[in-house]
Amino acid sequence: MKTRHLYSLLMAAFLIVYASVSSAHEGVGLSGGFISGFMHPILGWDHVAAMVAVGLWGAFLGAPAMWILPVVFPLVMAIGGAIGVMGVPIPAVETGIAASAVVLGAMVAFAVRPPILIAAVIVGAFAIFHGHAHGTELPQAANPLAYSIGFVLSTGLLHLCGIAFGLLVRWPAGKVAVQAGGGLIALAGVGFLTGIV
Amino acid sequence: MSFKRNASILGLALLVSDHALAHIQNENIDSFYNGLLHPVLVPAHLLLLIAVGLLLGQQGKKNAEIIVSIFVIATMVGLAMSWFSIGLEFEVLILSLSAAAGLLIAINPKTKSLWCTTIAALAGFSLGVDSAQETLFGMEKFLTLLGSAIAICFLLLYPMALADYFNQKTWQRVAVRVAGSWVTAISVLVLALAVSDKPRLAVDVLPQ
Repeated sequence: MKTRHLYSLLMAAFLIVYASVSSAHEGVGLSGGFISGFMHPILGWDHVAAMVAVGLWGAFLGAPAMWILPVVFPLVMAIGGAIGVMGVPIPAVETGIAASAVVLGAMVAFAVRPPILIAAVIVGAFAIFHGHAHGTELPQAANPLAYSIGFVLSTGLLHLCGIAFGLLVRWPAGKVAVQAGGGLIALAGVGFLTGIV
Repeated sequence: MSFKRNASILGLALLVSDHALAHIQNENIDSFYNGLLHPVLVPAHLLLLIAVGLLLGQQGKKNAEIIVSIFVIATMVGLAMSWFSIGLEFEVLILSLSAAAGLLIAINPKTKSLWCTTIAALAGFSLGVDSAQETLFGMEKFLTLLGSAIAICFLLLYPMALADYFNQKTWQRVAVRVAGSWVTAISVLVLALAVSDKPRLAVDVLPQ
């Protein structure tokens, strides 16, 4: 019986190792558009830090902020994206993105609990900068719709990462960990602003 | 299973394994299947179907049969019009409807039967008309449109059933609303591209 399992495991392991490289994604068409959109927020540390901070802050504030912020962000981000697509410049986009990490990270680190409306306005204001940065890339995408789907999904999943980590606030040690996480994000934001990171 | 048998399966698997062919070559499939795949492979159509399905599912069972029936009729009317290939572009309408449906999902107002019915009817009609197959004729065209009709109706029912099922716990309702906000964000961005002076809008590009 044991030998039989061992053979099966060996066979499965060999097949996994032998698996040839998939050539499905070639950077063109739908797949190329989706992948480039999906990777755009992930490949920028500043975007990652800010998106995770949105989820983290939402979870820290608890319901309904936990879901209102991740709903508000993509909606307002789309407006920023539309401005970017139309080629309307917004001053200091990169500074705004870096500042979003500083401010949102600091909100978590210092356990700031503003009314939900204020929190939504703060998050929405920064979403404009992130949306604009994504939007300016949109016309060059292999497939703009697939690119949009990719980057909105990616942004949402980064929020989810923040929410998941933020749920640790239910435990005393977890609250410290979440606030420390916020502090790290704020520090990273300072690094983005000063050009150190 | 003996070692010999395992070894033979392994040998066979190694012989037949090859690179994955992720994208179907459309010219190699028959008309009906081509039509069936059309709403799946056109992202704008799929996005609208997901949005309308989630919207109807979120509203629960009240008037669901009537609204779905109106959607089906509107789809058939649209497909019938597409037979004559009137040549109108419906991308902007499709994206606008997606944005509106997504926004309604995200806001989740209590009474909106009329809105749901209007959006469902317009969605069905625009998806039908936009499924035109200008290069096909006769039975080939009929089978393609028949395939599209079936796929459009089923693709509405899947997210609808999912949203109806996801209507029990708070996190499930939140997940549906978040999905709605994503649909709106995607649609608004591509709409902006469509109405701006940028040279192209590739929402209808099928993978080659």
